[in-house]
Amino acid sequence: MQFLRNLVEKQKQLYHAKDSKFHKVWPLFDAFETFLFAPDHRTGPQRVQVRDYVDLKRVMNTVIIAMLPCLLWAIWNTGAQHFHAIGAMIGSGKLLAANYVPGWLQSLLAPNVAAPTAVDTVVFGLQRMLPILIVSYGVGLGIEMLFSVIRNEEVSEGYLVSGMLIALIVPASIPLWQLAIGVAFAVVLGKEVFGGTGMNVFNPAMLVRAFLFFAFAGQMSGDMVWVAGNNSPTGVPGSLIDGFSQPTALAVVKAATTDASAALTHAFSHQDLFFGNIPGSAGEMSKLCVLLGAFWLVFTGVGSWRVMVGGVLGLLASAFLMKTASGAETGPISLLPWEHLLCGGFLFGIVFMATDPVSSPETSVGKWIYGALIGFVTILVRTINPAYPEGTMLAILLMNAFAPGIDHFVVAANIKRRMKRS
Amino acid sequence: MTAMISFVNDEPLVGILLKSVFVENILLSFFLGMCSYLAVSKRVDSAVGLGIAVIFVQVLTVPMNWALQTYVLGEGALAWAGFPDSDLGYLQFLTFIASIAAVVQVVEMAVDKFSPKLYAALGIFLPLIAVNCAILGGSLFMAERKYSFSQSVVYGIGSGAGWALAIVSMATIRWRMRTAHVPAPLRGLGITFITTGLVAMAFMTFSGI
Repeated sequence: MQFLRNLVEKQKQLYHAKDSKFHKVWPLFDAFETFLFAPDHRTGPQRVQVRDYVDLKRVMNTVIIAMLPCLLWAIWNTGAQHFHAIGAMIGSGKLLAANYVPGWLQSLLAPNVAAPTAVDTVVFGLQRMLPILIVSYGVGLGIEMLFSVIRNEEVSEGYLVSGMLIALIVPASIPLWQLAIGVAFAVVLGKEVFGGTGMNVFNPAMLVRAFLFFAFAGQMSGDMVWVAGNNSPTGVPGSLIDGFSQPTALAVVKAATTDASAALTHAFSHQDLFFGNIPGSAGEMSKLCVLLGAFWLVFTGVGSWRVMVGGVLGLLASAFLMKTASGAETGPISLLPWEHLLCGGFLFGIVFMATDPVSSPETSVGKWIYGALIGFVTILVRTINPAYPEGTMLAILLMNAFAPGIDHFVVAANIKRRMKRS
Repeated sequence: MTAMISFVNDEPLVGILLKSVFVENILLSFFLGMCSYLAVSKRVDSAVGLGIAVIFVQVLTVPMNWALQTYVLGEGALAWAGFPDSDLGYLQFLTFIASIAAVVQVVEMAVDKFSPKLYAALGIFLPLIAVNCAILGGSLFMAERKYSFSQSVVYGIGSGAGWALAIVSMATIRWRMRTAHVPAPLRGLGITFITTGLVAMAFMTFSGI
């Protein structure tokens, strides 16, 4: 450890002083130093004096730890769904096992296509998830560093979480160039123009997904994209398995003409929905992994339990009201309220995206309202908007736009109440 | 004289209300009324004031212009006066603008009388409602979609409320962004335009309902 510290101190001379050799890229050096060691900066005599070792970097790392179960499951299940689809195609005679084209990582470790082992599954998952993670972090951090060097600011750590979130909320079959465009859009227009980390109005990861959803609908929605195939990861389009379509749980619900609950359980068992043995965006599938992350976030005090509980209650209450008020026996509106929790990305969104401290309200009451409204709008889209099967993404974006308003009126009401008291 | 009314709009009132507030928000999907939206969204209280004023004016002008359209301007509208072949449609813009200006004048005097503080806060923008595209746009959409009287009242409320919702949320966003370190060339209008675009994207939640 001491050796590393000495090395950093020695290198620091080259960057720190105004006239030193590499002062232009000081923000980059500072970023790496504070990544390795907790910063020992002192604030000036005029400024706030309290400083905690748990700085932004440590908070962000806590969130990343919370997302690890989801990431690991995403790697496993991307492979599992792939081989499940391949197996079905071989079984129906659409594909010959000998014609299976291995990907770049699989060419090192050839898979047993007819009876894939656990290693084959993980290898395929890594083959899809690693490029996505690399593109997401590479493009996003690259833009962030460019901006900090030009604007001579510290590189902030917010993107460490966004980069991981982005990888987890896109379908594993996403073409990488589309992902890169989406990330560039969100980081530049959603974050850097507002002044960088802590200043953005909208959650950058959600913006990436919304941008991709509207710009490249063909690769972000429908029944063909949720199981990754094996075209070249840079190829167009994505990597669908030709002719294999697999609707997600919510697509099944949306298409239901009879009782949605029965249609859902006919396609997926509750157990599969909970443990995540289903197709979907990379990270949202396993509700168990999301719950593990939620416990960790609440336990460490990083994520707001008010938003999470408010959201779940809002979702259950609105689903119950919609079902009861309409009295519908068929169609998406007839899904049981608690089954809404098991479908789609609502739990993932409310745990990891809605609790983003920057784009959510700051007041406690505001957090309850914010969470509940996300649940409400999600149900509204899922049940009565025929255009989209899932509403979590747009519900969170919409509430991001109203979050400052919620805060403003909660504070105004508070002031009014206290004025009356005195 | 047989095909006087070729098309009757039979949309339910609740549908019109939801549609005009969220789905076809007059500001965020048609981008009407941008000038006062950008200028007055700097402060939350004046944004609330202007929002209320727009709702008020819209609720008055849309049904009033509905009456003008139905009984004076439309094709064969003057049948009650003995001119079954009349079509004064070419006077539509002129008449609508004049009636809007008259209503705004009355609202202005009322606000001045009952809330001088709001009157001072709104300043030039209250008379400017007279030339606010959202107001004229509301009346024109009403005529184009052939709303009935009750529909045009609901549409007036909805489109006004949608505009008010957009400006109040933008004002609170700008209030939150007051400490943001926005790059110098984008400060003020630039960043507001970008934010408006992003908010409009979030409003696509409801498109399709």
